[in-house]
Amino acid sequence: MLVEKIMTSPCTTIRGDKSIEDALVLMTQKEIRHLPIVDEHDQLLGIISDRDIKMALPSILSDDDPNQSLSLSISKIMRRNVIRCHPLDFVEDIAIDFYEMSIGSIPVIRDNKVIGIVTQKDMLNTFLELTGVTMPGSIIEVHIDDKVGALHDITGIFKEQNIDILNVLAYTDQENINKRYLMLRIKSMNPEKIYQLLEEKEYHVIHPFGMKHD
Amino acid sequence: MTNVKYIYSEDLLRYRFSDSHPFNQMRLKLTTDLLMDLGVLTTQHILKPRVATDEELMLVHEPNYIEAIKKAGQGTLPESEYEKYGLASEDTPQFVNMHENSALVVGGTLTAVDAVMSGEVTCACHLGGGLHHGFKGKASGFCIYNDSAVAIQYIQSKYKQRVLYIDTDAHHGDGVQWSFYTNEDVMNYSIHETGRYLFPGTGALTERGDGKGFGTTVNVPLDAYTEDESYLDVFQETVEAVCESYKPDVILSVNGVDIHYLDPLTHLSCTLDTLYKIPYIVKDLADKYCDGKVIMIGGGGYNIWRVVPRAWSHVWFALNDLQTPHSPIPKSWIEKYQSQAPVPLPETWTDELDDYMEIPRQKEISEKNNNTKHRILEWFK
Repeated sequence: MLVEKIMTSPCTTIRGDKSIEDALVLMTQKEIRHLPIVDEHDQLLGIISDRDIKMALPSILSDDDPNQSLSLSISKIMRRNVIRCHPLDFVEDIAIDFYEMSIGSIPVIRDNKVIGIVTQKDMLNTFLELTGVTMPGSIIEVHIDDKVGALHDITGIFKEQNIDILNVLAYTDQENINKRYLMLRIKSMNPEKIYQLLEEKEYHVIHPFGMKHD
Repeated sequence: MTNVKYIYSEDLLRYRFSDSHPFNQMRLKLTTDLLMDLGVLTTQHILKPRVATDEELMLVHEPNYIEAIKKAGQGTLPESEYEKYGLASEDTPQFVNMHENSALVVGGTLTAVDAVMSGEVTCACHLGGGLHHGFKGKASGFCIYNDSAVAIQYIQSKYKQRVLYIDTDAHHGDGVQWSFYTNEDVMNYSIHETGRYLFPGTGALTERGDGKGFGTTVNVPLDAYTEDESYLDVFQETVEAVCESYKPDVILSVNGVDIHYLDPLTHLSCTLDTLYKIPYIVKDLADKYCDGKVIMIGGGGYNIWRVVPRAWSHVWFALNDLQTPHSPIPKSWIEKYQSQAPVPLPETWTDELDDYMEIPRQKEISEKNNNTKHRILEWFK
């Protein structure tokens, strides 16, 4: 999956000569938490988050006048050396940047111009869509041996029953690394028959709370 | 002159995908005959359902979808189009005259709505309705047209009234939710088994509406094996809080009866006791907040012999302020249907419970449901 598929584009930006107050007003109005800062050619100069702004303002407990801080230029507090990406980068790769760098957003640059942004929220939504939550389906969870062909054997049962698999998630059982959990989201309101067929073939189907449903 | 109407005609049994499909409207006839044999339902109460017009269906559904369903029912929709409209799945396969038979289901619910909203009667029920998984442009989960969503939009457009939708089917009422997700004039309440395993997989506590409609969707996901006590506790408190805060003009309730422990599709593990109480709770809310105005429709329920007729009878009892009969199930009814049933028909109004399972983690499950309840109650303080 490519960054251009999940980015927000066009993205709200602000010029480096604007004040902190301008940035605060813009972020409140657009309901955003990350604001890339650009020059007159839309080239990236830096980035600020709502947290940076809060840090720049005096504490509500102090007697300092907040207006003094608000009138300062945004370039005073912006972060430079911004981690950036390209629309053709892989989402999997920028996911690692998010994971390792503890950052909230990554601006997308093409031709040296800011053309979009990817935030943590976009990443989470993308992950959720990958798990299939946006499509109605039943979920079947099977505990299987981690061996070649296991998936093939299981999906064959669905093919025989003419049941559409919306998506498959496979993850290793942390307590027993020779086993895997397989979660299948299927387009069916009535998975009883599938449960029965899987159990006939001695697959271990996970029932809620380990209960068997008769 | 009665003050309650019962929408029914045998034509409703033609909403049928196949002989082996779990959605079997034979349950309508079983329920209707049971009420007739008891003498609590007479021809005087019955209104025939009308067929919903295309304009009415278009209150919710997309014109190209309606066209596709018409063609599919005549067998002239190309198979390559089936997937797009949700007809390629085993849940909602094409069947002959599917448009006409689905439009009759919607018309039945609209007949109930008109009877109540015109002031002819205070309340009405249409147990053939409640197809809450249907989307604007796609069939899903045994549902073609979404009669509940059309009815809600119809009440808004024609009568300009505020509707509270209460959905107690075991499955999340996703089709209705997405139809009104950004709409501030419909309060949409659904209590259901969590989507962790069960279709459609949505209906999380965090789905609360969007934009202007934020706060007008309330989802109460309950854990598998919730059982009676926890179910009733959570349902009563949350639904009352929602109703009190929203102050509806009228209630539309979907009475799916698939939360029962003998239902083949779900795991909520409730007994008839809970199913009997639900319609009375909803009727009481209608009496308290809407001058009694309530429309009750059907929904899921896949154990059509041992669960649905007895449970749905109580929808009718509740609307008529009757109680569970002291006498056993009429012999005439058992004699009429026993030969068709694969299981012994029930002779009394209570569960036998000989096949009821003890739930080992009941305390934890109840505790988790209780947390869900308190989170919802917080929103309405």
